[in-house]
Amino acid sequence: MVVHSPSREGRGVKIRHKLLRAVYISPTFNKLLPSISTEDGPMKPNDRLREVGVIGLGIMDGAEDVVFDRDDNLYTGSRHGDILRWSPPDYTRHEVFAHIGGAPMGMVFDEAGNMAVCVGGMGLYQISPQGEVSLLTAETNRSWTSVADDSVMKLADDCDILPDGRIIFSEATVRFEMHDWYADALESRGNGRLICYDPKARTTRTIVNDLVFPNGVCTSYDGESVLFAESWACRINRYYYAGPKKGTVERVIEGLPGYPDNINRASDGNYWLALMGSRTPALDLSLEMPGFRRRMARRVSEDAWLMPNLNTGCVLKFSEKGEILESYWDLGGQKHPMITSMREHKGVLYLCGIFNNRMGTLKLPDADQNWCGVDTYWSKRT
Amino acid sequence: MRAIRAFIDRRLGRGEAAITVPILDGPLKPNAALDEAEIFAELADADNLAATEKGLVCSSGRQVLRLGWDGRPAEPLASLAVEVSALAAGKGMLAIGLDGEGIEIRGGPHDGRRFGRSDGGPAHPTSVAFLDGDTLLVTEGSRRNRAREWRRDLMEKGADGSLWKLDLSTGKATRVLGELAWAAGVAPTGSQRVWLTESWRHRVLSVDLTTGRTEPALTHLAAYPARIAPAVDAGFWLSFYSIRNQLVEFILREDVYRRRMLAEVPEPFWMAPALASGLSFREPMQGSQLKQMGVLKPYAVTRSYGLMVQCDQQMRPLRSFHSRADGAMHGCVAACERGDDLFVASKGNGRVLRLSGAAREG
Repeated sequence: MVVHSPSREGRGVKIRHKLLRAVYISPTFNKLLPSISTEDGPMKPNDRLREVGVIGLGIMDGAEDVVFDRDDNLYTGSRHGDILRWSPPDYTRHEVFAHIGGAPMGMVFDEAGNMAVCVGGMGLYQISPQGEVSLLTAETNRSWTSVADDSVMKLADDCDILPDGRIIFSEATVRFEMHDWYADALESRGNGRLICYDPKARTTRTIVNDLVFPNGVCTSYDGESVLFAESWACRINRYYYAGPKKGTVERVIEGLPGYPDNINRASDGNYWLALMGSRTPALDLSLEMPGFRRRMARRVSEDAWLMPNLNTGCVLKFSEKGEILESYWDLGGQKHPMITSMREHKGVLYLCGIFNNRMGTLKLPDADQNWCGVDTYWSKRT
Repeated sequence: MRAIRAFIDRRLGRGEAAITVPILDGPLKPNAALDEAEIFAELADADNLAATEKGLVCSSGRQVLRLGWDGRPAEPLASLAVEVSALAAGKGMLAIGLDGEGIEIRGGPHDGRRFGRSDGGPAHPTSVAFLDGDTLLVTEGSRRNRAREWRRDLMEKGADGSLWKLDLSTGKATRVLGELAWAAGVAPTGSQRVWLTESWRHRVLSVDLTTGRTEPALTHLAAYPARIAPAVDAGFWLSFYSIRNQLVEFILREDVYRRRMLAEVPEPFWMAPALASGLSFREPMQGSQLKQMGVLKPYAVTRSYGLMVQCDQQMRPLRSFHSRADGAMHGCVAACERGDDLFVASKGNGRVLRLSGAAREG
């Protein structure tokens, strides 16, 4: 079922939202596994993200993800649909690298230096090193079981690239637009999918369906799998694209204490994971009660809906086996509420949040000070 | 017929089932006055203020302290076995409400007089006030729940609070009113009529002590009223636990979720009003509380709030002092005047605030 906006006027939007809430939102039973302990161990909260450096304070707006090229340029998306390029070494100057529209989110570079970027509401795009924008794909194969045509992409979220150049990306939900993302959390239903785009054949195929808000995607160091997060299920999975387990999905971490967002490679062979918010017992309980959530959606103003505690910033590092190694917190979200992504580059961890007005920089003194993520995907430029 | 109407109301969210919350408007228009006020003292669990010649008497957990007017360090007056939940000073006496035990008088002609459940009196006092030198008025929030369990009582939809008249000379305790949905504050007016707050019904009542008849004086309040302190111009300072929240109103009508929350979720993480919020990452969050561009909007919905309202002699609100969602001086449940200044205890933030000149400008 599709709810159309009666008009493009403000009132139309209002009515559309009311209609959505009254008849469209359909929550499901989503009992989460008990949370990994935050009382002690690697997930014990700390204030390590409280005193971090800052880039683009008051300029950043809608930077969901961050990526670096081999020349240390920093790229972020913006709420206006631009890709901004920030110049090293201090990242105080920036320019519009390309304008796409939509909501640019996850980004990755291919071997030739082209950027692939997921754009919420539009699909998967490519930007050449010269800043030329082209559409890679906005449609996938229609699923056999769906009554509604679900071939068009609504919310492409994060992408990563395989050694053969194929791009695997997540579509968080097929049921809601970008700005209704929270309605999908309220549903906590398997509305999302993992999609693979093959640039050689120019084909797009859905590879895993019925995922609960698939979000961050990261090609594993193992050469045969891709790690991906399911936000509202609080878990990390692994999809095998090669090897003996090809085509299967395995759980890597379950019962996260928060809602996972982007995953990216760390210099020590492990992975960084952003938690956009933490689980709260009051919300966990409501996830077992779909009727309660449906009535809440219908009768309570969106301003007052129960949400994850998104005013908590947390980034953690986990190993290939799924062990959580350490965590970095900003309790109360003093500077970094709702961290949606992070990227390590040359001994610094860069932190960003889609609703934040800044990018944080955390020095990692023990990390490889010359490590550039692109080099771990493609052989080093000589 | 009534049952049918109630059923239809529940289906349509009307009448008793409506979850609408009154807005803060007119004399209750929000400001940041409590956040801008001078901090007079930092005191964990600051509560129960009473002005005396020698200093400001207040309670902090099990302690009763006196803060010198000139900023001298706090001087302990009494140390009790349980939490002090109410306090009144007058006629050379201190009436101390002991949470779970009752009332104890210190000093003056009735020194040592005690009232408790065994004497047929209130055990969970939420406020006390002297009617005259020999009579004390006491509110008991609930027969079951202690004063500090006010959140539990609200979420249990408690309605067994009461108003008491205690005769200090004879030791006789008389229950004036019962079945109140959390009686939280009482204030004499100089006659047999007294003001009484009934928190969970969001109203202030006018009570005739001789007949026990009540009349609503202030209804449909946007917050949960707590204690009432007298003002020098014969008006009153009305304090509040917290503001009402649409989601809490909704949960109060969702009995299955509400009961499971009370049973399964630890109290600090309830989706319920609080004296302070944002203390833990496991506390519930609501939509508009998400920080946007590094800013928490002051008008976001919130579980804790600071509100002090000045009312006239007829309990009509005149003006108000606020600490909003982005402020910190929440849970202001006690106030008292001295000279031109108003002192407010923010129990949620553990601060005593001084609003210079606030008592004069009324």
